[in-house]
Amino acid sequence: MNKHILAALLAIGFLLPFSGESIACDYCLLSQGISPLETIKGSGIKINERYTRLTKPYKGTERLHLDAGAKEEYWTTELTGFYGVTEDITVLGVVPLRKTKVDGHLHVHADGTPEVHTDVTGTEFGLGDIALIGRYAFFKKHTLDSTTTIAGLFGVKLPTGKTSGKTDDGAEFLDAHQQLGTGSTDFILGISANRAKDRLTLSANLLGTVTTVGRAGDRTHRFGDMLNYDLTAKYRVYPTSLAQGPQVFVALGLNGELRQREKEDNVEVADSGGHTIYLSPGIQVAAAEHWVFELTYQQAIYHNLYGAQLGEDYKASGGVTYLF
Amino acid sequence: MGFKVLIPVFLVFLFFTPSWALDKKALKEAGVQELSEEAPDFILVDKDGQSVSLKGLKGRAVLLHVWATWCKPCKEEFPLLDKLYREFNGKGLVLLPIAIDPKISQGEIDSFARSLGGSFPVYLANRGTITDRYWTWGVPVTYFIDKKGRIAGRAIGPRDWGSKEIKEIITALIGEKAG
Repeated sequence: MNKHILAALLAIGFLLPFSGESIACDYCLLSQGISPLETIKGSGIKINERYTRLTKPYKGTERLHLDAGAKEEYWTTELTGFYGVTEDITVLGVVPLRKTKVDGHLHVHADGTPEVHTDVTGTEFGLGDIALIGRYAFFKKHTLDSTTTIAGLFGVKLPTGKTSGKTDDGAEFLDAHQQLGTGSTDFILGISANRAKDRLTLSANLLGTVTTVGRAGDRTHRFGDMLNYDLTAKYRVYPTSLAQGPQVFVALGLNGELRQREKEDNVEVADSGGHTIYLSPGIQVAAAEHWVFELTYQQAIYHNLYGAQLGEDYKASGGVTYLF
Repeated sequence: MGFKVLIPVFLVFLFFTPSWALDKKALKEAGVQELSEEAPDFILVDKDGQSVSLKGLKGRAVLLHVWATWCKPCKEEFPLLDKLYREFNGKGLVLLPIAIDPKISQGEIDSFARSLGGSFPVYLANRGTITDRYWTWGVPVTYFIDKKGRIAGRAIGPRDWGSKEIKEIITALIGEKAG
């Protein structure tokens, strides 16, 4: 066991120095649930709808107040299928269908002055990037009323989303992060720890993504390597002792995204990458034998964005899981 | 000198190493979680009003099965559980099926169990002192308790009680020395 933990920690440690921010990232949030990075075990299917909004410009941690506003919105319908190959190994596939809407563009002049071009608008709709993940629970410890699991995650995100979306007037390509996909094959590596005791469950997850070069618009593009993390507590509020009927859980999480700067035609994009932290309350209801419903709200509480960028305001999502 | 050192090492080893444990591979194949802790004691009352305590069953292997009348998979596994009971009842296994329904009488639960094909005695959690820690996350849940009163394994969710893997675990459980 110690050998496995050491290997997983070394792998995460390897990814940390490459981490760097915060755009609307679909594949980085796997289950999109109460504990966003936690992959589900067992077998089932989940459908999730998420809305992400970015309206506030930031330079580092400083909020900018510009004359005109810009808005980016993302709607993602995500279908996740997961299958427990064995008690310890689960494989899952995530298929996102995305809509992106751009209303105004934050342009940063050569001298670093940001300005919003309100005439730039764009809408894209279609398949996003499909991700395939494997989860291996390499450590499990059970007592009468507690269970502790540590699992390693390995995966790949495929460039299935279109990357040639243009502004409404057809004059220019949309920015790389406003496209439906990243255009690159990226590799995912993570570790997930979970401890349930009585009515309380604590989850801690780390997920690193190593990106490769793709194509966005008429240029080569590489998103920065990324590290996502989350720490979530979930508590069963009803029933206090197991009984017939639904079970209701409330949750509170702290999660974040760190991303390196992007590269366009092999040149670093100064206004990209950074760190965003969210506070995430949620509610989960296990309504009937096979059904789980959940709602999560992720409020961005901290931004430290490189250069000048629009920062995320919040994400809101709702999902339904059917367990076989 | 070397021998003098080895004696306390041997004694420490003897003290801290369980003299018997279920085979990990067999547990894994049967989907049974490995546990190793003292089973909290409890008292149940049978249909004749006689008390049955877990402590009093020391020296015998116990299959503690927690279920509820409203739980569909619990009801579905009754016929196979009954077969298992008939096969191992005379061989040193005690089956303790405990229903956690809060508002049901002993007469009602007996009839209910019989209608599902259960010929074994059933008990009610509400007539005893068993802690709800035994069913923290759901039912059915089944504990494999060894002859020393330690929980050796736990199956969360329904199981195929007629499977070779389950029978192997139970055979091992009743075959171990009471110590």
